[in-house]
Order: sequence, then C-alpha cells, then structure tokens
Amino acid sequence: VESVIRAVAIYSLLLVLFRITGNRSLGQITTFDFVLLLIISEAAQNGMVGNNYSITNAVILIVTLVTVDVLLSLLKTRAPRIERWLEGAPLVIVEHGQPLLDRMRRARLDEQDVLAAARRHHGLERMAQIKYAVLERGGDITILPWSQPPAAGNRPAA
Amino acid sequence: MAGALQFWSPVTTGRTTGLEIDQDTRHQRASWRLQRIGWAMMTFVVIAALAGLLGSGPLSRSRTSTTSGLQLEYERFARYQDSHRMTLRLPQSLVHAGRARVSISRAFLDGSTIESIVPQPEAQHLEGEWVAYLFRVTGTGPATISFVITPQRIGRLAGGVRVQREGDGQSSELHLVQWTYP
Repeated sequence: VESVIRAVAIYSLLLVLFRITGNRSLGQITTFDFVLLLIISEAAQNGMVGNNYSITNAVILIVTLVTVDVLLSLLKTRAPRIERWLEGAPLVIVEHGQPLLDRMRRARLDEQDVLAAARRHHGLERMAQIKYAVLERGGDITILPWSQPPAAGNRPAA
Repeated sequence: MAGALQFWSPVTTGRTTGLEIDQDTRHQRASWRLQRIGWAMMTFVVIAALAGLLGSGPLSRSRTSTTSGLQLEYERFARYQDSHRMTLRLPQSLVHAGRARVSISRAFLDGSTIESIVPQPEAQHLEGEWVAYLFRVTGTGPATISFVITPQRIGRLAGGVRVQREGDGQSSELHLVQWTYP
C-alpha cells in the first residue's frame, strides 16, 4: 500500500511542479538543466523507495507509475479540458511579424528567443519575415514564415 | 507599459484566424495566474523548510520544563522514518541514591522507535502504560540523557515523560506533542 501511495504522490508532485515552472522542451535544455534534472530524479527516488530495496517494491513502483501515466493519457484523450490543464495549450507569440510582447513576457520569452528559433529552423533574418511564431505545448517555438517573403520592414495588410 | 498597449491591439484578442490552432486566451490567462500562485507556494515551502516548519529547524526545536527543573528538548515537527534527537535534563533533586528512573508513555513508544539511549539504561521495565528506564547517576549537577527516536507513524503523536524519585516516589511529568510529516 505504502509503495503505491509513494509512487502516486511523487508522480503528482512532479507533474504539478513541472507544470508550474513552465516546461521547456528536451531539445532546448542546457547542460545545467540536465544536471538539475538528474539531481531531481535522485531526490525523488529517495522519497519513493524509502528504505525498501526489494524487487517487489521496485516492481510495484514501476507498475504504479506506468499505470498512472496510461490512465492519465486515456483521460486526456477523453477530456480535452483536462489535457489543456495538464499539458498547456499552444500560444501564438508572433502574428504577421508583430511580436505579442505581453504574451511573450508572461511566457518568459523574449524576441531573441523567437529570432533564434527563426534562424535555426528557417534561416530567417528579421521578425518581419515571420508570419506566425507559436509557443508549442512542449515548450519549443515553431516558426511559420510567410510563403512569399514580404519586402523588408513592410507589414502587409492582414 | 507595453502589456497594456498590446492588450488593445486587435490581434491579441480572441482566436487567431488563418492558423488552425487550439489557442484559448482565457485558459492561457488562468494558467498563468495559477503558475504565479504555484511560484508563491514554492517560495513558501522553501521559507517554511528554512524556518523548520517541515522539521528540524528553529521553529521545530522546542523545550518544555517543570517547576522541579526537569527539562525536555524535542522536535515539534518530525519526519516519517527519519531519526531525530530528544534530550532530557534532570536536576539532581530527582536523583536518589545514584539512581534516576525515567518513564516514557506507551502511547509515544507505539508511534516511534527508540534507536538508542545515551547513556544506556541499567534496566528497563514495564509499568502499565509506561516503560521505565533505570539509570545510574554519579556525580553532582544535572544529568542529561539523550534519546535517538525514529517516528513510525504519520500524523500527531502525543506522549509523556515522567521522572520518579526512587525513595519517596516524588515525580515530575512532562507532555509533548509531535507532528510527523510523511
């Protein structure tokens, strides 16, 4: 009984914590983020395992974690509202070359992040070349360039 | 403020056209608000832990004493299966003929295990709802006994510590309430 409670408690704690801190995608993490993640897993492991080193306990923990995960994913496909709360929703942060500063500030992003993503994926040079930039649920930025790049500094009528 | 300006810009309100996207401005605002609350709660947890509200810290360490001079130092907040120290200081007046008799209530021992007692008691026996430990005391001045205790139950645990003088049966009693976190 205790193992199941421990596993569920740690699972929900991590879920809530990672939602609160705002997620960043795996591709974007820095070395330091990675080390931090390892330390967090170490700390979480102590809370889950306690001083029970039996295989039975390990099996119970793993099965519980996977079961909770599967149940949640089932729930998410059934109820889009829950999915939105658990995984967040995509957010448009640049529209027709105009950065939506308020949204970016709240999502803790700046124009440099968007421009970096634009350079990396599309070789774009300026904000005006971006039709849409979307902060996806996983935390990475998708850039949609204009299909026909407008002249520099010219914002076409939407 | 840039945010206020952006708010009036037509593009930020409602759904964006042309892009098939599950964007929901209301939800986004609600989730940002929740995120802020979450940060506040995280800060609170850190501060509470520093203060000792979650065990081992200035707010957790507490002391009770009787008029006879018996003194007990213990942790108000303990953690499940995490050992901590409890220190009992008894004045010379409660020692008789080189013997001190310290009893701990059964109720307290049911919720925790005593890992070690320093110094080791000479003998221990059962007295109804109490477990009595007999110590040999030489020298003058107050005697200090420490117990290393591991809580075995989550939640509130109340207990008593009693010191009886062997000769005339004069006794002093202390009560403690401990909260154990999971």
